[in-house]
Amino acid sequence: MTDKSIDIATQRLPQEFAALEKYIQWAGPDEFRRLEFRENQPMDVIQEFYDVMLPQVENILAYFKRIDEKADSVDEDEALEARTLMNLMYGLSDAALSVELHKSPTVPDGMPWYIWKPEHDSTDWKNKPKIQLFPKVKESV
Amino acid sequence: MELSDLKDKRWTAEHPELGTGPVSVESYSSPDFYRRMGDKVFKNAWIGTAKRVDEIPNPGDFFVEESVITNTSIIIVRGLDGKIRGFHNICRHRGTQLVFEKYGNVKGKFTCIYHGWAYSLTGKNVLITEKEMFFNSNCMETNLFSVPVDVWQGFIFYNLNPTPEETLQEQLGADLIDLYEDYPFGDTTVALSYNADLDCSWPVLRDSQIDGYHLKYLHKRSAPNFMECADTPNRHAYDFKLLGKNSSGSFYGNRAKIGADLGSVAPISALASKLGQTLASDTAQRVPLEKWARGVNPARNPDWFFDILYIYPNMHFIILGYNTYIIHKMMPGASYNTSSWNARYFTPPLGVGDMAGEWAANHMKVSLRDLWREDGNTTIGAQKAIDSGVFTKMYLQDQEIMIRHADKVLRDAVYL
Repeated sequence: MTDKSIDIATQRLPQEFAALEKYIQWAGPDEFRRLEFRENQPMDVIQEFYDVMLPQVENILAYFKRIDEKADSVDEDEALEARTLMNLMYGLSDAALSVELHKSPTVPDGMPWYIWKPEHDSTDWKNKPKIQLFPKVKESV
Repeated sequence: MELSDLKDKRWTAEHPELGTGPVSVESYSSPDFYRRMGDKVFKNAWIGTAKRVDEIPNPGDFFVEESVITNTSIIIVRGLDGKIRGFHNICRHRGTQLVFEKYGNVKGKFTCIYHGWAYSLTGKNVLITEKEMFFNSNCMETNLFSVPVDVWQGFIFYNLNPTPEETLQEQLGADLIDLYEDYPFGDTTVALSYNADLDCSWPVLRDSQIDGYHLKYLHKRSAPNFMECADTPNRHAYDFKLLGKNSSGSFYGNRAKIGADLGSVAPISALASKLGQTLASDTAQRVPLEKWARGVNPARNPDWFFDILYIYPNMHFIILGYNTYIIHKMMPGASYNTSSWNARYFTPPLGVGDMAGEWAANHMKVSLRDLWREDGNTTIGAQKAIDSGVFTKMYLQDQEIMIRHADKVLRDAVYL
């Protein structure tokens, strides 16, 4: 699965998870937006999303596995749906931290959410040369 | 070795040169100290970029390293010959910035946007446009200003002293190099990177990470009960080593608590720890402890949480497992009471076609992010107190020996 960002307006979930469409706002296309969303929800909204998603996780992971197995034969629409579902699962991670650890929409003893800037979502990062490992080769200058 | 075996140990007592008294917060609070530190440390030591050779694998691949305290921008580039070199990001014509991107690739040369002057990847000037219109062009010094660059375990360092006082190997020291020789850094690459600009001094930021004492308290929600040890509740470290200018610490983790509590009360966190590598994953189960590098988890105890390796002057490695670690790269800001923090997480590259693993990796990312918000918060609060002028000395307990040592090393570098 390539890490493409997608437009929030065009994203949609796979048909079998249509019931989760109500929670699509949790599936922000990048980390900063997803975090901003969580930080601004009251605890009962976060809890509701978490409670609805928890029993679905097994089905979602099974879906992911089917996509993995299809590999290159995944068409564009299916790829978009899978990516949206992944973003929803990312949103679940943010919600889970609130419900399971922080007991709060924010990090109680933590600094404001916007101070950490994810470099990995930046344009600069997209221009990084492709990684190529050099396992245990002596580098010299 | 069990943590309770160390009940009567006082690490600080084994290093009388450190003393045990209160420590001045001069390095946290003095603009004059900051200026001297810029010259004596940041212009005169091997500075870690926290970037690896695998991020610039091919000829022409480059990244740019900025440092505010030294007012420098350094291009680190892999040459056509495969060697990695460093240059000040300055065109020799009229001082224009040569490269504007933070990462990229150039085909064989850098070309200045202003008048088209060009430089090969060895820094040699290869083109002066309208050269015949210059006067005494043969007397012009037009090669890029070169910067010494060296590599340890794939990590790239640079030194702003054109004739470094010591080699990178000397700054790291033979012991450190030996202890981490077998850690499989070469199998890993950067998976995520966060940047924060903080309103705290650089030494405050440095010290926020090199203490295991705070885990139980500050991170009681994000790492619940991970360091609770019934036998020895006031100890956290199996080991501390002072390694020249550097230091390491190895910290206890309550494996039963880390694993057990999660399943029932934190099912999503538990799931992520099984699908991928998170703070709660039991890595000792994945690779036998005897195979780990000597310097990591030296107690060889499965009740282990993480190791810290402080690499002077500006990096903390937080080693989370057999082949997973974080680097906190810390640089002073434009004034004594500001700094920047780059947190990078390294792991073997995620295979393609593993969506569950991708999700677990993201879960780890956001868990770390939220945990680091807790650390960051203490730094901001601390600087305000320090800048009031009323707080002038701090008390350090035995388990905070890495802070005491780092302060001494810094003061020695600045004043001696």
